[in-house]
Amino acid sequence: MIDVSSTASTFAARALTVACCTLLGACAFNVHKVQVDTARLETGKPVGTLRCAYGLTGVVDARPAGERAGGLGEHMLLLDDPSELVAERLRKAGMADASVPQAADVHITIKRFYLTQNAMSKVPVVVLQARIGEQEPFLVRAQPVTMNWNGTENEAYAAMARALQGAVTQLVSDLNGRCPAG
Amino acid sequence: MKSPMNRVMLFTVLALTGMKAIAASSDSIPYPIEPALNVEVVLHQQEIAVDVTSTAPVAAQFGLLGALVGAAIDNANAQAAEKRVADIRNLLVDYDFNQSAEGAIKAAVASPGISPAPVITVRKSGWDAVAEQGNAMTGPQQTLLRLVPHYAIASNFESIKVSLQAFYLQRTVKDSGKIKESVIFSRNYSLELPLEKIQGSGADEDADRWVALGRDGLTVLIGQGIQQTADMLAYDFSAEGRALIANAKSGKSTQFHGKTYRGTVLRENPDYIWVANGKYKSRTIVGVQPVVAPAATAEPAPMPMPAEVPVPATEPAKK
Repeated sequence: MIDVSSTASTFAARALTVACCTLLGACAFNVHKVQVDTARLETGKPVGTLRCAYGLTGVVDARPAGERAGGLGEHMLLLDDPSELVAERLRKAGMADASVPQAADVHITIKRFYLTQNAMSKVPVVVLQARIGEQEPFLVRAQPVTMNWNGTENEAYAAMARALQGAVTQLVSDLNGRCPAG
Repeated sequence: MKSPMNRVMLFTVLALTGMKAIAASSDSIPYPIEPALNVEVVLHQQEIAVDVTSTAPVAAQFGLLGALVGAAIDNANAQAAEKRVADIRNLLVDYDFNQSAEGAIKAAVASPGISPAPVITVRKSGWDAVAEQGNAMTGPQQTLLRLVPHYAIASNFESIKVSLQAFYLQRTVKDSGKIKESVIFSRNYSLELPLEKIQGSGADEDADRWVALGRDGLTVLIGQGIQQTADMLAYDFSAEGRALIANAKSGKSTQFHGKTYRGTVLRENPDYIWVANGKYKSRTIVGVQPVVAPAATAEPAPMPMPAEVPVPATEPAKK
């Protein structure tokens, strides 16, 4: 049997607490530091397949906040250099691991990789910058907004995984759109 | 802008953070606040926020169903707002708000009215500020000034606001070993940058107007917000600022760009206005600087610049 009044008030209190923490940076709770286990950022969903040859010349971690990857409720996410996470997914999409003949060089810069909250929602964000050869770089951004149900560590992982998968999928799609004609 | 908003904010803080307010009067805020004041700057944003006002707490009054409906509405609003803000965030992806805010705040707190030799600690996230509470203490009690810079765009995309919240706190180690924080006084400084209204321009069109300003246009405006909120902090505790606000009469109204603002006018020129409300324990200083931006399909207009160069944070402003 559900205690409706207490469930509703808990829901409201969580919303207010989140707003309070976000706006005021001052909260009374125990911080749970989560060193992100990158294996838990795998959604199992495909990121697409490259339709032309690209060679990955490097992935650089340029996040201004360093390992601080935001968080959810009491969970503070700490994420070490995620370059390999991105590189691994691009290899799965068919990208060569280095500069190769007949393939355009691609260089990736990781601009953001974090989780934040907005009202009652989780907002995971991954922003990648790609440069093909000497062309102007372009950005891809994934920030799939979903309801924050309980502010759990599992929810945080799932949100971050969705954003990573979304960003790489978008990147593969954009790279396909830039394949040489013919 | 009026003090009830202050009271709501303070109530929220006290109710949810476990912090208790303790007495503050004109006599209890020395000049400077402390010669070697502990200052904690909390940098809690990685990109510009988009403020979606939550309806869930109100909806929760109608039970579980109300809470769920409220949360669903919030989530839909957040999804729409986060989608609209993406292009603005992309423009600002290489702009370091935190670094600019940190520099301006450090200069402001070193002013004569606050602390000639502040001891400044920078926290890289809100979680760091909470996690490091106990580690920062060298004795059973400690006072500190916590400063939280923030920048956000309204969910209707009509304005950008840069703010700086300040809490002068007393920390005490309880017998249980837990840290208790009591608010001695709080301040909220902000500069609102509202777009001049264009008939028929909704959230999507206004988002495009911000994008049309370009990276340079946006960073100039946000930079002005950072500088002005830091100036507000320094001015608030300057001799001139303290005297003016101590003798301020409540309820005074001022017209600026067709809108009415209540409170004590601290600065006013054709480009922007500063209005203060509240006394010692809790005070807001709100600045408003309208932004002229054409519809996104038109040629971008030159960026509006303030008529006067903002005074350094360490000098009191002229009314």
